[in-house]
Amino acid sequence: MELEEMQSLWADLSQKIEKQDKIQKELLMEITKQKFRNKLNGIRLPEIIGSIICYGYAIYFMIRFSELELWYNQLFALLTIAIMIVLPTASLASIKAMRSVKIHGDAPAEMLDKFAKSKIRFWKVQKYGMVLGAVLLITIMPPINELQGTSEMMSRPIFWMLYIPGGLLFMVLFSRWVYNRYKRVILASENMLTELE
Amino acid sequence: MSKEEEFVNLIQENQGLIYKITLVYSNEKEEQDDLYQEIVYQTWKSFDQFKKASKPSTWLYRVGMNTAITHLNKSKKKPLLVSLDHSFMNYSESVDSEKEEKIKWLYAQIRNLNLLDRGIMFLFLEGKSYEEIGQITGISTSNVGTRMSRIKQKLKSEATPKPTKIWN
Repeated sequence: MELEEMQSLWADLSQKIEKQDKIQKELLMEITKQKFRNKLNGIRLPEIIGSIICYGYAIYFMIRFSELELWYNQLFALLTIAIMIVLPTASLASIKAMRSVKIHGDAPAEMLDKFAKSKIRFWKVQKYGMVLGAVLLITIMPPINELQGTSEMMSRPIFWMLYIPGGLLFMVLFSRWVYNRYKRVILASENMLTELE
Repeated sequence: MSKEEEFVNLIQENQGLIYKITLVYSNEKEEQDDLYQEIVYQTWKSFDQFKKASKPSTWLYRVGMNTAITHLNKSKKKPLLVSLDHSFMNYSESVDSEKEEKIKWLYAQIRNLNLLDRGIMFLFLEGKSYEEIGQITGISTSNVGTRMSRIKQKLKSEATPKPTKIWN
């Protein structure tokens, strides 16, 4: 089919569509109100709750930092505080960037570019988050046990026999899930960027 | 005229345009309905910007196309918020059979293009000049030309219309 024929077919189609009844005002406003309610419900609660928990732990360690006597526990506590602040902040920032792509201001080519890049950034943050999560698994236990006076528990071999394999198994399963998702999203976003070139 | 009335007028005047965007970007009836509702919502959300826009038609094309791109990237099967049993949403049933196959073929060809080229082809069929297409999509006029010749080649390489489905 030649382009001219396509254009004439399209014009014919457009003409017929224009002849259809006008959508009713009540239906239009109902669509708008329902969508608005739906968006309010769609705020990312898990991310917000997760971040509050992280910040809460960071504050807890900061307040009770002076009570830590062992040098390595002080070091672990510092690392834990840093991770608990950096990780949720980076995660929330990347989500915000992804959600703030301007449908109303940018041209489609510009928006496609921003959208793909912010998606890649989001999943990179998730990937680093995974590594930092594994570090956190180790660094959080010694200082928290010293602060709660349960250091004795950590000296028992059974604790490490359960905690380390259990923690590692969780991290491996979780990492595999994140990695698979990461690979797919990055590939799709990179394809989107290639299409723009 | 109240803001609500102005908004309703804008959508009513351009409902065909919004509908065509949904056809170009999706081949499933339910997804098209959902996309239609999302475009209506996004238009309402930024209606104040629209009133300030120097070229309202460019603005509406952009909002429609951008919504389609982002919405379809995020979209997962979700129940429809409002049921759309409006007559134009069942347009395919009113098309005479002689042209039906050709129209289905045309939509299928457009949907085979990448997201940006789909928009370019749509605007071309809408009768926009390369310059206007460039302004709406945010790429240079020469880039529109290059992409259009690529699209033409791709479409020419296809055989005559084969039976396809507009939606399930």
